[in-house]
Amino acid sequence: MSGSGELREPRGFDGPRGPVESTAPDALPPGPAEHAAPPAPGGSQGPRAASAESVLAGVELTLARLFRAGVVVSLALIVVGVIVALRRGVEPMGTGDPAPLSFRQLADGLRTLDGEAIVDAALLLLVAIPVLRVAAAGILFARSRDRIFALLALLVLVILLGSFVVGRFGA
Amino acid sequence: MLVAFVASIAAGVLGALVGLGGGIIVVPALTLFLGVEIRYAIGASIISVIATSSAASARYIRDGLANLRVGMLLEPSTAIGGVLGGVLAGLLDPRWLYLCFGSMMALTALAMSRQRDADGALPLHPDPLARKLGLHGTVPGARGVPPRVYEVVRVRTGMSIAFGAGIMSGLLGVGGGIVKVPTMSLIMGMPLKAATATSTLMIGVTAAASAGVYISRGDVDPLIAGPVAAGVLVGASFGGSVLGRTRSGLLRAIFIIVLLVIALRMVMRGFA
Repeated sequence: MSGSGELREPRGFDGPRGPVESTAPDALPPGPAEHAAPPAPGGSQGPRAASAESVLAGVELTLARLFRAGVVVSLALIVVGVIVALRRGVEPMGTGDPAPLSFRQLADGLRTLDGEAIVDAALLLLVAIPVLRVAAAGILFARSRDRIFALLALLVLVILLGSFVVGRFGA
Repeated sequence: MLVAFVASIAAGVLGALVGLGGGIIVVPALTLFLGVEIRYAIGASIISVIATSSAASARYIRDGLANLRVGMLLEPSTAIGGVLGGVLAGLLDPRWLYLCFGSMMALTALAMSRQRDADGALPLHPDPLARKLGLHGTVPGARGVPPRVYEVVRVRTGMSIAFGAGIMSGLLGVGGGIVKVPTMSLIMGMPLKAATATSTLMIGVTAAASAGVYISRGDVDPLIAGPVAAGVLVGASFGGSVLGRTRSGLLRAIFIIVLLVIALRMVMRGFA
C-alpha cells in the first residue's frame, strides 16, 4: 500500500539539496559534536552497526507490518458490518444521531452481531493502531535507556487516552 | 452509503495522484453533494486519515526513511493540537467549519500551485537542542552511494508549527501533510523523502488524538465512517500503486482549479 505522500517526492531531492551536503562538514564538526552529545547513537560518520537506532527500526518494522495487517482486518470487519447492517434494514447513511460510544453498548451490539457495532469495533481497531505504535516505541526507547524519548512517548499516550474523555464534555 | 463508498474511493485515488490525503476531497463530497452534516463528514474523514497513514507506515519504516525521533518529538505538540482542534470543532457553529474548510482548501491550492523545491529552504544553522536529542538521521543512498547523514535544525519552530498543524487536523479532519512536510523539509532541514515519511507516521497519531474526541462526542457514525475509511484506503492504495507513475502537470493544474471552485462553494455554504 502506498501512502498519499509517496507521490510527493518528485524532482530528485538529491539535486536541490546538494549544497547542503557540502556544508555538512562545517555544520557538524566531528569533535565538538561528539563532545556535545556523547550518548548520541552513532557518530557523525562511520558505520552505525547494531546501534539502538537500528534495533529500534527493526522492531518498528515488524510492528508496522503487524499494524498494516490490523488495517486489513479492520477493513474486512467494516465490509462485514456494513453488509450485516444493510441486511437488517438499517437506514443507510445513518440519519439518526449516533450516541457517544460506550463500551457496554459496543459489547451488547457485538454479542447480538449488530452490524453497526461490528463497524464500530473495526473503527476502534483503526484508532488503536497509532496508539499501539506509540506505546511500542515508548517501550523500545525505555529499553535503550533513552529517557527523554520514552517520556515523550508516555506523554503522547496520555494525550491519546485523554482524548477519549475530552469529547464527552462537549457532547 | 454505497455512494459515499464510491466517492471515497475516488477521493483516495485522486488524493494519491496529486500527493494529498483523501480528507480534503472526502469532506466536501460528503457535505456538498451527499448532504451529510459536516461534523459527521469530518469524523469520517479523520478515521480515513488514520487508515491511510497506518497502511503506508510499514513501507516508510522499511525503507529507513522515517525519522522516528523527530516524529516522537513533534507528536506531543501535534497530538495536543489535534485534541484542541477536535474540541473546537464541537464548539463552533458548523458555518465556521465550512468557512475554515473552504479557506484551508484555497490555501492548499495556492501551495500546490507553487513549485515546491529547496529554493525556499532556510539556511542550516546548527541547533544544539537537535544535537542533544540525537535527531540527525540518514537517508539511504541509491545504487552504491553511501547513506547520507543529515542534521535537523530549528526544532522549537518545528514543534510550534506542528501544534498548529494538529489544530487544523483536528478541526477539519485532514492529515495536514501539506503543512508538516514543508515544515520538516524547508524549515527543519530534513530531506524531502525523510520529511514525507516522518509526516506520514505523525499524521496517524495526530488523527488518532482527534478521532478520540470525535468518537467520544458521538460524531463518528459507523455507517458513514466505515465506508469512507474503506473507500479512501482502497482508493489511495490503488492510486499509489497502479496510477502512481502517471503524474502529470496537467492533472495537477486541473485539480488546483477544482479545489478552488469547491473551496468557494464551501465558503458560500458557510455564509448561507
